[in-house]
Amino acid sequence: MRDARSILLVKLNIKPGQIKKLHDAGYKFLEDLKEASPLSLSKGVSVQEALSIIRQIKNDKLPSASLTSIIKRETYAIPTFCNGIDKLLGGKGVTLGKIVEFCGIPGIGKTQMGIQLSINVQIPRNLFGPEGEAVYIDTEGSFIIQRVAEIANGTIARLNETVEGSPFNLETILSRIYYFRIHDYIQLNALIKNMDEFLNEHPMVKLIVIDSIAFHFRTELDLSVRTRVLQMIAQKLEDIAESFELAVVLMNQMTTKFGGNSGPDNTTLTPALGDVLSEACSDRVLLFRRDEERFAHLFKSATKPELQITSVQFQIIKDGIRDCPLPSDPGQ
Amino acid sequence: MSNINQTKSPRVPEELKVLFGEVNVGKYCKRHSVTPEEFQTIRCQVIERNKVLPKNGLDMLNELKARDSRRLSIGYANIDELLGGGLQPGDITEISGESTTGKTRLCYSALLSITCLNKENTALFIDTKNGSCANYIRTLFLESDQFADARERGMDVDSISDRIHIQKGCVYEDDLLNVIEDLNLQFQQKEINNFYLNLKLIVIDSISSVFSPLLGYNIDHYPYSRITIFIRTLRNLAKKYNITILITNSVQYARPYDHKSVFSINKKPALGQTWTYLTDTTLFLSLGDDSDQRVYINRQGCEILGVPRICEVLRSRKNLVVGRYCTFYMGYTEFFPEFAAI
Repeated sequence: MRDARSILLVKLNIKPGQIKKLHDAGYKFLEDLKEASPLSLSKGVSVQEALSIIRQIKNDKLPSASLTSIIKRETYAIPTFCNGIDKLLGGKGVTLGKIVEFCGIPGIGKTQMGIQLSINVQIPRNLFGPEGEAVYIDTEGSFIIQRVAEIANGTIARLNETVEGSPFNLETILSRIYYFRIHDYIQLNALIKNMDEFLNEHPMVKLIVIDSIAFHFRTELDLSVRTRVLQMIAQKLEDIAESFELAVVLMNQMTTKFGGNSGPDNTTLTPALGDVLSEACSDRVLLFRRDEERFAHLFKSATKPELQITSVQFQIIKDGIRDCPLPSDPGQ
Repeated sequence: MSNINQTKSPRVPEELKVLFGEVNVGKYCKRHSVTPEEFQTIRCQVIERNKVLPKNGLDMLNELKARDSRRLSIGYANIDELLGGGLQPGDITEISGESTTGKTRLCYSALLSITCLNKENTALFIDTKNGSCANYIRTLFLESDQFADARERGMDVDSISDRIHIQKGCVYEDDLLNVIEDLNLQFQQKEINNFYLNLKLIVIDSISSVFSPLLGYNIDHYPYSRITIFIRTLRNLAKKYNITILITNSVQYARPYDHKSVFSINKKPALGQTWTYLTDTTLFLSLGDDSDQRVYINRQGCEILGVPRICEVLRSRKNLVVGRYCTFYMGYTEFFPEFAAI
């Protein structure tokens, strides 16, 4: 249960610039602001802004928005550098505010995708990127820093190709990835419950990657406990994604399902952890291999259900995730 | 005597004590300086104010007929038939099913169908999972056959977009309660905002993501009573202002002896048995055979690929035929039956 007094400022209808100024002045929660007078607030923000903030918080609720105003809001997306996958996810990549799941067999490239996204979230605004920081929660120990450096260099090289004068370098990229190593589901639960605090101290975080969410839940946990813990985590992640406007990317493993729609003796590979995760994610992408090539297939989408029938090819090279060259191009 | 004359105030605790005889007459009279005779008048007034008047059986039948004629279409005729003609204002209809079976899609269909009826109707979509997409709703309106008539009549996508509101960020139970209480307050204003005056539909997608984390054995927060209280508040609102309520629910594992759909293997609506008493009708969506995909060509000439789904009436308190079902194909912008496919 959430304490009503601890409503974060970020959840109200205040502009992000003003929120940063309020945070700097020491106001974090709604309760703090309620006792403030316009004069004391205006030490950090202008008097007009202070008056408008106070008028808004008197309402004390999140207003509902009409479709027209939702469409007018700018949303940033985190590109994957593979145009096909970007399109699957809604046009330009992983949209901020949504929870996306990538699942696939071991070795298909889930961790690579996570690393690529953690780097791409830092692309500056003037290159049409979200310019944010990343949180990488590692449950399997597959985050290898040398590989991250390789992909980071690849990204810098690619951005240099498109626009001259790269504004970021290896040091800044690596310093903006916050890495958490988790050893069991209790630590995962605790970390996510306290993510609010961490995100308040690092308001530039725009991506949380959990690689992988399935690992610690596939041990001796009782089914009902597992479902409940997952639902709690999912609920908290939905809250964080919405209030802090960041993207959450979950990596999931595969499991074998007996029976199902094709008959009682057939087995199919399905994403692990069942329906719980499926309900929480707005988009789910399956990464699979066919004839030595890697493909991505969208099997749940909130925004582009018409793309659920297509599969998109992608490749993983030394520089990271890329599109596959079209057949008509000469090989590189 | 003063608290009796305020007919608009909520029930004060004193009133209840007076009504149930828990008050010491002597002390009460001294404290409020009334005579025992005046106290008896107060008591009679409290009883008057709180009693319910009976209805005549014939009036009830006439009311029922009047209500039936005001049913609202959910957007697809075959499912309207399962619902006995459409959604009933004042009732709570539940749509449950596994992930990707089309629950949110059906909700979008209902939102558009109700706002297309005339230029005033408004609708509220309470999104507890942040999975709603405003662009998709607009695309549905612009491209789907379901709303071709509305488009021909001159209904404009911007007018629709202004009248559908999405409430995001309602991830916890407190948020949901706040939204409902806020609605109540809005209706009690002297000058009700146009949006609330014409509110005809509230969709909650989905209620299981809010309440499921609270349920399970070994928890002592009485979560079932909280769900009941929430639905009761919602239902009072719906009945009073004649609003249709549509709620989506996910699934949980069902034992062999549980009552469930014949089309799903060991899945039944989530939130347990208590929840089944709280809604008026439950529709259950199941997946068909995914390899059986059909193509449909809509009026605009686009080829739409559809995947098979089954919609079944699982439970109903309102005279619907339980167990009736319909199969249909769900495409990007269309719902179509088998015979309409090429």
